[in-house]
Amino acid sequence: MTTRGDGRLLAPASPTLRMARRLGIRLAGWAGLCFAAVLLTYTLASLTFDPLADLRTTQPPTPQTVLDARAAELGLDQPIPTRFLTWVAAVPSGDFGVTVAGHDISEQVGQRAGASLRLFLPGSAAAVVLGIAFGLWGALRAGRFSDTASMTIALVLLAIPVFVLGTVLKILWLPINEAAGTDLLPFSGERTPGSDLTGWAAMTDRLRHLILPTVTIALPQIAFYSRFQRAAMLEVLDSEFLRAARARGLTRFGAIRTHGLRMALIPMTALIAFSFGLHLAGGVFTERIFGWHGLGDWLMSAVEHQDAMVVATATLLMAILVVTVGWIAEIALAVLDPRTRT
Amino acid sequence: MIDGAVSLRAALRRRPGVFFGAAVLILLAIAAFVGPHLLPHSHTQQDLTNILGPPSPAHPLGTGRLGEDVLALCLRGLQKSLVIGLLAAVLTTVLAAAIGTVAGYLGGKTDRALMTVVDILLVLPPILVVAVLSPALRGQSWLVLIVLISAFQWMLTSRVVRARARSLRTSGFVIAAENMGASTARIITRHMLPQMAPLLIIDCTMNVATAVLTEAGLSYFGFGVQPPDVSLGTLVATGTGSALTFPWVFVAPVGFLAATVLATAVLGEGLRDDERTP
Repeated sequence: MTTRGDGRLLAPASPTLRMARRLGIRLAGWAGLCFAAVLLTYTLASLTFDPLADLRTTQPPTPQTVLDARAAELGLDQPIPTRFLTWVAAVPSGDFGVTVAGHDISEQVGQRAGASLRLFLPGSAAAVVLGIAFGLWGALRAGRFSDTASMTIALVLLAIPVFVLGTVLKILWLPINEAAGTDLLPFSGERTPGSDLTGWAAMTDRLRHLILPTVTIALPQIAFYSRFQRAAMLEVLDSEFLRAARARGLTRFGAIRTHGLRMALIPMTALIAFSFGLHLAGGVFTERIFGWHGLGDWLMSAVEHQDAMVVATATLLMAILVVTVGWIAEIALAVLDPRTRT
Repeated sequence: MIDGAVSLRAALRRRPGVFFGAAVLILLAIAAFVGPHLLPHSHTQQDLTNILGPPSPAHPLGTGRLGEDVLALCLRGLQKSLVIGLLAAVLTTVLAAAIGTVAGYLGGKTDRALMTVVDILLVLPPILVVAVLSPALRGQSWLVLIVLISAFQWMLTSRVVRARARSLRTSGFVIAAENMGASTARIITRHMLPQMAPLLIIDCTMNVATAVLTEAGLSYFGFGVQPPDVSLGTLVATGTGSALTFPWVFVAPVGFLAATVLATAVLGEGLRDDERTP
């Protein structure tokens, strides 16, 4: 039985109902977050972009009537809130509007989101696992040479921008490609263009295209997570409860396995949730360097083409991705830390 | 005097990172601001008989696409990157301190509203939001770039500050100040912020590294520092195309950029470790 603030007794809701209600509130919160992020970028884009700039600078000057007609066609004669609401209202039905060039945006959504997911999910998942592994390993060997060396490498990796890392990886791999005579690991695109490979051959072709960009995305994240995981694990290794477990006769590894590991992993869930949006920036550079036509590449070319609707669509898809990762991190936290289950 | 020297040596042994980072940063700053005056070539001077020349006694880091001295270009770019990084970090930290303390001290609705803003801004990479705003940057001074970088980088620090402010809210000296009738502004600026000074200094150092990387990323895409101005980011961007054929135009700015970020990060981490284990 729970009591409300006013002291009235509430009938205990069934657990399923309570969970459904809680999930509903969370979903609404996440939807609100995505909405606000899209509203922000759409407004900023509409305020700064000028899709008519090319027309205005022509010689001889474009007649005002043509400018007005073009503005009306793009909906620029409407105030920004009206434009945004019109766009948002159409989104649930799968209509994301048209680009400034007049193409249907929804046609590209699947392909762009797919490219980003294929690039980003394997890289980030590998980075989380490897980062945690390196961090734990480093903490257990704290102070030894291998630990110092791996942490120094991590620090250097974090100091190198992703666009340099991608270029350096290409340069390092080039001699191997040349020695092999063919593009063992191709540098550009998702698959060999114009090839009509099927089945297994198409799979390996895609995989070979995937390796270098994945490494580019994963390396900085591995460095980032491992440094945090090492610090978290060191704190746990120094804790009272682990000493108590040892005092009860557990071996060092036994105590760490049954008590320490869980505590060391808990702070990582929050870290992954809030840093994922930041790592997405690395994905944008990677897409550009390796010629993947994903969400980041889309957003950047939308800025170049002064296309606010594409910016909004790409932002929405990225926001959904970030929020989903936050949700997964929350589940992981609930699994690790029963106190947060409610 | 002797005491100072002894404690300095002791600190040096205890935290080599702090001294290493600070020394490299000071050297880089001197190189960036004094160096150009000592060089025989300015960064705009073109030696058209020696285009993309390899490192030589006259040009220690070679020459660029228009025959510019790469060292002079790098020092000029380093200057811009350092100034932008430093100013953006200070502004970021000031913003974060103001928002974090207000949210943490006042709590309630203000706290919820401000933290919702933080959550919204954390959904997207700051670099993308600034990129969206970049058309407004054309023709503007790079000072606007500093404001934009800070405006989308303060969120993480403000969360840390907020947590500290919440725990300070119930401490004795804050309650005493409240009971003596001190205003909210006074409590925040005179009682809470001094308590957080170490934390803010450390975060500010870390923010320098982030801001330098953000600026480099934006300039790499052409959204940051605009020509004819150069920053390390624009230099890396122009060098990338010739990274294989004329490596010095790529390696030199990358080296300066990595050294700056690495030294800042090492300094920041050293300071943080020092703060944790007094």
